[in-house]
Amino acid sequence: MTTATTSIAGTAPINTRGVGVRFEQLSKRYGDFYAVDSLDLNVAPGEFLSILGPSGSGKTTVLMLIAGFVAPTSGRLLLGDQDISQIPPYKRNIGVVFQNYALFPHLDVRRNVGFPLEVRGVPKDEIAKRVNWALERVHMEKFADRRISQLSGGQQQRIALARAIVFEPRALLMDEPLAALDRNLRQDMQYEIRSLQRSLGQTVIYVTHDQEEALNLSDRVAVMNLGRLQQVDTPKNLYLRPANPFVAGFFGEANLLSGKTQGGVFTTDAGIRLPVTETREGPAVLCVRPEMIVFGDERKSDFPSLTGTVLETRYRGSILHIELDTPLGKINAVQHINTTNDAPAEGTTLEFGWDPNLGHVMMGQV
Amino acid sequence: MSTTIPNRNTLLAGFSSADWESQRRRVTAVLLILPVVMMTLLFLVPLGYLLWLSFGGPAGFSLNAYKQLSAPFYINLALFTLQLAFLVTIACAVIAYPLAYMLANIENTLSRLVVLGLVISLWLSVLARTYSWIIILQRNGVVNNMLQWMGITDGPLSLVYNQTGVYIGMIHILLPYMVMTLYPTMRAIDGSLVRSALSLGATPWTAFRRIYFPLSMSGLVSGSILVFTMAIGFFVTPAILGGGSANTIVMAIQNQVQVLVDLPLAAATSIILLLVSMLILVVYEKIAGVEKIFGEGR
Amino acid sequence: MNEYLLGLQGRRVLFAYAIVLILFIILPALVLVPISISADDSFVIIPEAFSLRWYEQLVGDPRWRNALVLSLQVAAVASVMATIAGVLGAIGISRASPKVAKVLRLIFIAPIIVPLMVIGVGFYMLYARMRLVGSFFPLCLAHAVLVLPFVMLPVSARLYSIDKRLEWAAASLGAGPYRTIFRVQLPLLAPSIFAGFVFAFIFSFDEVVVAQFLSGPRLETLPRRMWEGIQMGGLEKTITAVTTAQLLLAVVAMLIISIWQRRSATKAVSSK
Repeated sequence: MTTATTSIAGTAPINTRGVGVRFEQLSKRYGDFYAVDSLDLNVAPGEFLSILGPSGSGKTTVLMLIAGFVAPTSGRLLLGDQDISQIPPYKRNIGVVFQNYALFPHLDVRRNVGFPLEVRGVPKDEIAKRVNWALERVHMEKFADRRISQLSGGQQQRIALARAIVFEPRALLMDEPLAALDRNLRQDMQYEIRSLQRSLGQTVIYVTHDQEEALNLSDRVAVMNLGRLQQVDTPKNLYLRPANPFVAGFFGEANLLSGKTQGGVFTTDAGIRLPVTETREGPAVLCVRPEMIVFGDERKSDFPSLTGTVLETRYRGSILHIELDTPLGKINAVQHINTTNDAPAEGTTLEFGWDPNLGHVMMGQV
Repeated sequence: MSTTIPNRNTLLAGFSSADWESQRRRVTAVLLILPVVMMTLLFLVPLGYLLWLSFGGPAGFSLNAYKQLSAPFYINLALFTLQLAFLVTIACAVIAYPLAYMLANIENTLSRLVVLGLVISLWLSVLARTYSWIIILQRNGVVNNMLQWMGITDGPLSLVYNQTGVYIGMIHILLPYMVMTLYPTMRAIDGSLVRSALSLGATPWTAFRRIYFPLSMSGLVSGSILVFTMAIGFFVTPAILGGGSANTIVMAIQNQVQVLVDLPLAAATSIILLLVSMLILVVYEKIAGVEKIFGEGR
Repeated sequence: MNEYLLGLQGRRVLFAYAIVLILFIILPALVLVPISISADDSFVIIPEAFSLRWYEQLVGDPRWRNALVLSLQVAAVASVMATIAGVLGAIGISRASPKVAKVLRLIFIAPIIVPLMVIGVGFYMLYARMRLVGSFFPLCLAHAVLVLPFVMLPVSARLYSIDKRLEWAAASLGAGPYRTIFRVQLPLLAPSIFAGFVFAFIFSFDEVVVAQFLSGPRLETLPRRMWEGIQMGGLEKTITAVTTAQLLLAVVAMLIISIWQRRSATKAVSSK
């Protein structure tokens, strides 16, 4: 993180640093239906946190709760150390970037970015300076006098960003801001958003259904499903140490084996014993990622030794996908293609295993 | 299902001023006060007063006025009004359909000219247009002069101050409404449906009859309801162009007020007409949805 | 071109039909203009000499002039009132719950569905009892209700096309509910509000059915004056001058609206 405060000649320094956001048992209920159920989550100041989930997971309700368009049924929402669950949206000082940008079509770029300052009664000359500052931050200073309709989608996105940061918000909230952009532009904008957030020291809560985007951008990702928070963790841990089968299945493919674990041995429901590093005891699900599976000689002595029959092989770009019929059930494996390996023929019997250190046991998940 | 900590939001739910949704509802109520009061005092109250008068008003309850309305004179008047409105509606539908079809499917200068003409016509005063038809249709008017000059007729035809004039004038005034209702429906018909019908071997006529026409039906129905309603309540045009030969219910009401000075009778007649038009409005709401008129949900 | 059902021949027939209909549709307007500027008393379409004497009479003759001024006043007051109430009503309905909105729409649309004669008689009887017949302001109030739907319809249609998220955006940026209406919604609605105002003005300026009940001997609106002229059977040519002026005003207003709406339509498209 570099500059947390920026000074513009002749104006008070702009405090761009964000504050923390804390959810305490926050719930939103519609009748008997919990759109958001007892959400506990702590977003650190300056953190980039994504809220990720499929449609219907409650992530949009969380967004509306933070922005203030939906009132929580119970629980508290703290911005910094202030409880904002009672504060109307227009007094929350949270910069929101909407999915479709929601720029005002009747105002030009300058007046759009200046809008939050105008409604706060900031003097004209200072508005001009701050608008310039914000436009510079998104590299749009040359477009200040354009009409919104004259801008491309990516440019509108930048203006929406500038408008959300110009009034020194205490946090930024983004609702799938890149969904409307094409793939290449989306990647550029991901980088821009990330570097802007870092240079401002701003707290960002980024709501999306796109796993790749969430993993690329975030310090931590909060995964939601059916109104409940499933796991909050770094992108790496979400993949390697998923908290439950939903999270495991949400990020990439996973072979999930249910059974119970005891004393470093995982016993599947079918009674097959597999070595694990988990020392706790009880019913559990073992998650083995397809790329962890190795064949034949690549196995080490402590790997489980299993055999399976090749059901199907498929090439997916640089990756060979192998589906095996094994005593554990169907197991998916992937191998990176190099010149020496050929796809095994269907019906071939293969010996396979995995590093017990990589297999991940999810306790209590059956 | 979960342990929830009640907070001030739940405790003060009814009083909370911060809740965005309830604040929004309050603002909505504030916005609606003036228009709702205005509609109540200046629309519902006069009509309510009319209802009261029709049942005898200050003289005490009586069905006298309604009994008077069952006289053959009023029955015939009502039948004529319905017949006039019905025929005008049919004529408008038939005339408007190909025109709306062109506007919806062919984009050229001619289409734009038609739209321009329709809009100008809509905007031109009804009184002015009716007056203009007198000039056009009178014995030494444009049409008669033209017909005689071309040798089609020997003497002048009487085209105005009779039912012919009424039909021409009413069709002219109501036609734009029919086109304007048909147009969006036809515009919304997916062209690929017709194309696929043709590619499946349907003749153009079959494709029209089986695909296009059924899809345009909703516009035709709502346009017809609209035109029919307006035609029933039409006053200026039949009164002027009819020259006494096309007396409708609304003209009878005017007569009851200004000549007969029978206010309960006029009130009762108005109430009947009001009920008919409200009935049509409700039917329209059921079939097409009033929000369509408001440009929503298109 | 999105037309597949008619062949080339069929399309030609359709075009010919359209030309005939255009003539039918604009004939009344076409006829009025030349007659209104012809010098003589006759009603020939192609005048031999031009003169503005019928327009002069409209302004010069006290009875015509008073009617003209009164109608302008009534239309202005009524359409301003209808515009204020109509815009409030349209915004209110757009925010109301679906059930409430449905009922309100039925009520607000009613003045153009219920025959004018019925509304006119209702007002006449109520006003007669309250001794308000023949007074200026009550007439304006009656007209305001009649033309309310003309304001509400275009404004509602426009409201429907405005992205709801703009309201959220304004709130998130710090604008309170009323400020959002003034700073975001009203500017975006401006063209349709103007269109509604013009519709309302034109309708009120042209309205004769209700006016003939509510205007007394000293309160004669222009349509009522024209109505009387036409009823007398005498074809007063001043009427052609009135209607031509109305036509001209309508066309000018229409041009303004269509240019304005086209401009703001291109603005609004980008926000969707």
